[in-house]
Amino acid sequence: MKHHHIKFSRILVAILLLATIVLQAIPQEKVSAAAIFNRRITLMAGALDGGSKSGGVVAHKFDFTIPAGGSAGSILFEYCTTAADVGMATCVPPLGLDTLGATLTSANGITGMTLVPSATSFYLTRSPGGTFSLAGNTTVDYTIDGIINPEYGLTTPDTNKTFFVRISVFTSMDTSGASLHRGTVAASTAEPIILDGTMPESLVFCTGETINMTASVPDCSTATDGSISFNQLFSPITTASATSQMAASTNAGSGYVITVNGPTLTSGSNTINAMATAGPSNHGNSQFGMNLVANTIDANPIGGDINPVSNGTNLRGWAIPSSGYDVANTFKFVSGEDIANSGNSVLGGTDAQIYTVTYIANVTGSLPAGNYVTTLTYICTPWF
Amino acid sequence: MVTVRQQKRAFIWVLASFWLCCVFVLPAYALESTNYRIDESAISTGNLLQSSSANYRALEGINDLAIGNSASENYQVLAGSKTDPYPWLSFRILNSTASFGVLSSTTTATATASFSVINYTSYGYVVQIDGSAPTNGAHIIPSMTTESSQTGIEQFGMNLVANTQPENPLGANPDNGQFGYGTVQADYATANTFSYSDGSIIASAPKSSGVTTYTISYVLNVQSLTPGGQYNASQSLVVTGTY
Repeated sequence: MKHHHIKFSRILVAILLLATIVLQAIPQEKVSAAAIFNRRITLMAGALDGGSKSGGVVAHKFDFTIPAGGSAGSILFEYCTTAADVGMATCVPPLGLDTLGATLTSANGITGMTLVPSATSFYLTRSPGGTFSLAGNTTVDYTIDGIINPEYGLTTPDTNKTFFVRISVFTSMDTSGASLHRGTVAASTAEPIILDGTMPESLVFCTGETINMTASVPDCSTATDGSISFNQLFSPITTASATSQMAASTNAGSGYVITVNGPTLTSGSNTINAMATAGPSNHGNSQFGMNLVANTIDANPIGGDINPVSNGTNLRGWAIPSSGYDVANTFKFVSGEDIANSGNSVLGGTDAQIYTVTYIANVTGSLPAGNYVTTLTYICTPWF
Repeated sequence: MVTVRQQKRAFIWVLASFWLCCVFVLPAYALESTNYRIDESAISTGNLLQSSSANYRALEGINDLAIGNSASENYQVLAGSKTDPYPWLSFRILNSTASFGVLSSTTTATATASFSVINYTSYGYVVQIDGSAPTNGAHIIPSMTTESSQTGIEQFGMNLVANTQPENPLGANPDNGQFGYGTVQADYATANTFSYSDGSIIASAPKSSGVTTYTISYVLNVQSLTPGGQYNASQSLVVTGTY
């Protein structure tokens, strides 16, 4: 009896070994589809939105390699909250995702594709052409515009959401039947980083009898009192002169303009005529005028040009050309008129510069005696 | 007569045959690759991989002997009973508002933002930054190219490392924790040197990586003539993993 048991065991062993050898000889078929490899999704900026913006209208670019085997008739791109089905759970589309407006803008590798969109997926089909034979590994890339990214909310953590795109290659033209090759890619929306800073609007403007430089930069803190007396008593045979200074700088994009405002020299009801048109200083005439440049009066230098000299880049101040205040030994005074601006080369911001204003007064021999005074107001207006 | 020894020998033969059948006949596609691959194997005293029903899914592990990621230049192992065969990408902007405050031509304005990346079962990832430098209407602050911060001129730049200039400290080096492999691209990896280029890659990982937390340090300089007003920029970070 025991002898039969041993024989039976040996026969069983022999059968099992034989079965092992035979089964090894039979080629084994994988039950699962082959994996698409070297695959990725790049979220690309749309016309207005960054590529990873939650709810942004953007482009999705897919790069992947389809392994050899079979023929490709269509490729499905299915957006899901999970990489694969687990148990009874199937693909749940990400909230807010919309692929209805998807359009194929670039195709390489397997071309001749037409995009067929639906709400949360789309597929590319070779129809009406034929299938593409996957004789070897085939690297492809497709850029899809008009995709609305998933959107779970407007603030974190809802703006940072992972989502998956399941890519499946089918032999059929309409993604029917079993998939031939598959792969999943992952991506994530992200909160945009908002950078923010404030550059204060700036205007530094001052007037005084004199303004000095500090470390080669005009320094309004050094401006002296604005009460200015002419260099001599008025006389019909010589010209009285005086100077004052003003400094200006601004970061206004369109620069500044300076106006002079006030009456002419007055003593009670007597006045010295303001020079309505630009002209030279003439002894014995009733003249009150000014300019913003260096002059020579009665053989004496007086006044000065703008300092530092304008260069058209960071130093743009000047006496407005052809204004009548910009020519040496020529003077003018019209209340309310623009006399200077930061328009050297182009109106724009400028670093500080000092203007020297030269005043002249000529009087007639019959001018009544008295103390002739005026108060001038300079207004610097930046244009931001 | 059959001895006990012969009976044992027969039993061993039967067991050996079953073992051979199992080893050579049953498909074992989890162990495959050009060279080699172990996928979804658990070396532990317990494991409930991907338990699920219609409404839930759980990845559980019990008494793992070792978990985490081990890697050298040429190989990488994701250990533990909770490993997952599917790709995973997690991207978080941790601090999305970077305010420079009031700008001045005599001091450098700074700000920081931070983000983290986890990418799993991949050949790595890259992080790209999109967006313009701060602008105010038509005026845009010029971008820096691997240069140091200098007051009094217009500059906008960033890096992803710890700095001592123009502030000490400013920013931080990437925090890779235990299993992160994130690195900073060269243009953004030198302390006290800043760059900015729209669309450039700022960070990457060469392989599957646990969480890496990056800190972006921004610097902004203006000159006295920089037009007044609000300077804004909206920047998007895009992480692309290859699987």
